Amino acid sequence: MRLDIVVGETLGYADFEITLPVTVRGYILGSDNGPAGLKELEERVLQARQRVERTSWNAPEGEVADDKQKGMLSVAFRIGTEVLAALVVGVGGGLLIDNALGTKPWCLVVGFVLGACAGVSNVYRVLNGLGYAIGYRVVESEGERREETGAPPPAGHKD
Amino acid sequence: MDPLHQFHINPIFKVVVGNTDVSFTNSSLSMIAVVVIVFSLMNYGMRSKSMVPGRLQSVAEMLYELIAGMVRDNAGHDARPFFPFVFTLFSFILFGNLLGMIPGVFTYTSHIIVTFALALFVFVMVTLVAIVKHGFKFFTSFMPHGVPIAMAPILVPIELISYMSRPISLSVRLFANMMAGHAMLKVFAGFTIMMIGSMGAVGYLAGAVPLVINIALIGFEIMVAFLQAYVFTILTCLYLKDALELH
Repeated sequence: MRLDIVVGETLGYADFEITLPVTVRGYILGSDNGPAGLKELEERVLQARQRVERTSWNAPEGEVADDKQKGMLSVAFRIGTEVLAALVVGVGGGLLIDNALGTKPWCLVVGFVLGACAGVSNVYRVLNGLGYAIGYRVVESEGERREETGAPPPAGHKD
Repeated sequence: MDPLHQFHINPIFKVVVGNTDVSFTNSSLSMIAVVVIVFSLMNYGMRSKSMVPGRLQSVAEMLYELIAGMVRDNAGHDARPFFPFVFTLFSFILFGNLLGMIPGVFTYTSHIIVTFALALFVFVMVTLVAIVKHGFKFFTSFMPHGVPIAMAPILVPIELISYMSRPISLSVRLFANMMAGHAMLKVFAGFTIMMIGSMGAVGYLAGAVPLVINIALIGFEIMVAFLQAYVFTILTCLYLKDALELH
């Protein structure tokens, strides 16, 4: 039996489960729901404790659920901005150098090509989960874990 | 009716120093409003520091835990000194986005100069951290390992451009999302008004269709407001991680 308690009522015979700061629900002891409510409360406390441990600074790394499941639309948009940004830097840098040195079209052309290359390499990195590190090695924690376990590094993995 | 009218910067107090216009504008007003909101949320919310948090305290604690977890997972333990910076960045962007969802309030994150300034600050800070921590090794990292030295004249500029494109992609992503979303809301709202204006009684019925779409879009925009603030800060964390553990 569940009872929604109005604030200010006497609560002496009930034990509580607090779900949200606003709603306070009481479970009357001895009724069917009482022990179940207690058990639920226990579970919630455990969950909350685990969550706090997970977010504290001293928790072991790697236990955290990864947020890699993002929508395809945001991935597509991200790829677009990566290409655009690299092209902006390449073309803009080329134009700036052109204006400074008076080599009118040439640095722009070189900058465009280099910017396009950088854009493609940015997209490659995003899609392969290489993150934003410079270079093309998968170093991110995978390599570290291998070193810890003493397993041989994969072929092509150089330091 | 102009859907881009909402992005106009209007000075509230005109201030001109020398030849530079440093007026207090509607953009500055919403930035100050956000700073005040975040500051009072954190201070007023944590005032009681009770075991069982109240409403505001829950919000403050959730924000703290979200960012603490994000920094720890994505930037590593060494990034702990940067937690206040990342937290400030996240709350400034998030509350700026959300405040902009109130009709009539200026959304400063829909201006590329604001997001670019934020991204450039992140970029410069991350680069300085890498240089201070690793010294000259930072510059050698632009040459990928295991590549023949003959490739260097091509690869190093590409890597350099790729590195320098970070602040641009970071700022364009936030700005474009916010601006496109707000313009789209205005366009759909405009449809309703046009239909009522031109079709009379039938227009009230037909005008309900874009209105319904707009309601869905507002929900979507609130999600985008949160998501983009999250993406901006998570990428900041990833850049920090790269700078701290230069490979």
